Amino acid sequence: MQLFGSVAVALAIVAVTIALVTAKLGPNAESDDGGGGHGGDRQEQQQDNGGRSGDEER
Amino acid sequence: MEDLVDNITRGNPGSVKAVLASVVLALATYQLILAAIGYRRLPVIDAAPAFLTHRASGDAIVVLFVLVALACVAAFGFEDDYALHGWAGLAAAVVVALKVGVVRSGVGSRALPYLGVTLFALLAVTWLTVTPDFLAGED
Repeated sequence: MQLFGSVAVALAIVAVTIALVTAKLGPNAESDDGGGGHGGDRQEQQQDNGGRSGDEER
Repeated sequence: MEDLVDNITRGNPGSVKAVLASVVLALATYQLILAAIGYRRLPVIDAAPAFLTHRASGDAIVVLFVLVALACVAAFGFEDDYALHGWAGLAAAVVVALKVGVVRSGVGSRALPYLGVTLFALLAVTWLTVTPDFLAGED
């Protein structure tokens, strides 16, 4: 039971982290600034797609 | 390799890297808690299930860490502006290799807590030197 509980906590941590970080990314991000620095790819993608993001294209 | 990473991430290697690196850091934080439980510093649950989860979570972290590191080097390479990020990541890879070696061989197992804390610190530095700025949209 404790094993399942500790594994469930790990899975919950993964799910919450993905939700929090993806909320900061993409076309509906909390911030409209776009990614920058070492991985500044969102700006390029929007320009390549004429303003649409990769997710909208799918 | 760069094209492969670009295809897999659909042109968003930085975003995918940010998500996966954040998962790695979050799980690494949980690893510290599980280790503290296992070594009876935080007796919330029994040591055995804590160490089992610690081992399983650690395996997942290693897989994610290797994927993120390969994608990072392939997509962005080593840049002078991110020297600390690169060196911390490289050091983390060395400590991961050491830790896996110690776990597999059983030799020097008393060093495992120190290796674990060092690895967490290096992962934190690697994450802190890029991801917060990326998520904030800063250069």
